[in-house]
Amino acid sequence: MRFATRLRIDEEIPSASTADIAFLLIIFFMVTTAFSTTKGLEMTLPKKQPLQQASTTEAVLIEIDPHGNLFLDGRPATVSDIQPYLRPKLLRNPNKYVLVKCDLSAKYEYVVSVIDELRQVGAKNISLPTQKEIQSWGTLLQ
Amino acid sequence: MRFKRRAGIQASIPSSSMADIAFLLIIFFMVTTTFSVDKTKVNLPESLQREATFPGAAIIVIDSDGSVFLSPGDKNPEPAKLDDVMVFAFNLVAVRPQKQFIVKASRDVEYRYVDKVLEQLREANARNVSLLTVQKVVSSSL
Repeated sequence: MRFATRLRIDEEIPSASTADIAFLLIIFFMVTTAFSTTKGLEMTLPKKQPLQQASTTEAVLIEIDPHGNLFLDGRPATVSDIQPYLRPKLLRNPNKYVLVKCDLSAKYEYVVSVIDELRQVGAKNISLPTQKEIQSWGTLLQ
Repeated sequence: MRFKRRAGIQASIPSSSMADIAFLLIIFFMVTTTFSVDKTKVNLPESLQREATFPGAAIIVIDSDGSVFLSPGDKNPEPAKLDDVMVFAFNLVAVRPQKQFIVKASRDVEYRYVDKVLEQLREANARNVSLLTVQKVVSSSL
């Protein structure tokens, strides 16, 4: 006796819409992605105690006046003078301290441009004394 | 005369690997996605030297008029007073002593505001501070 063969149905998992779902997810992640592009000048602030006192006789002092004029160890200079002035000093002593003293009403931009130059020339010990510190030093910087 | 009918071949674009490609792309975007927490618009100063900041660092935004916004690193910065920075930083440093702080200050802001913020960060024993900048583009003089 012959049994009637059943109609064969191909078994498969319907996967046609998987790509659609996946592409939707891709679009979501593409839209929300913000590649980490935040970069800046890294500074290490000194510990509060004990107070690290950089000797002003050995340090290079860079002053910035309210109009953005620079004074390299008291002499008027421009931003481009910083690297040639510091390079021989840093060759002799790579750990040379550089003090950046900025007038409070000067623009922040000037300070960043000075620190940028110092980083380019390879100064490691950049000190950005706050107004309170300068006051505590008294007449040391005069 | 009757022509012999050709065997019909079903035309189809092979799309079985589409989902695989899509999922690979999803994985790429999932891995690289960092949801940007900081949406404040600040005209940042430029610098040639830049180091990447760590994700999850606390953000201190200083607007061009000196108004301060603070974010512990996982939400959008909220307006705060200039004198609040110390308590804000102190609480974060107490939990994680190596906590990073990003100072996102406008290039036009007077240095006194940045000075005040740095002073308070130092008082709160914060060590790792980044001054956020944008890449300076040097036009070649050829």
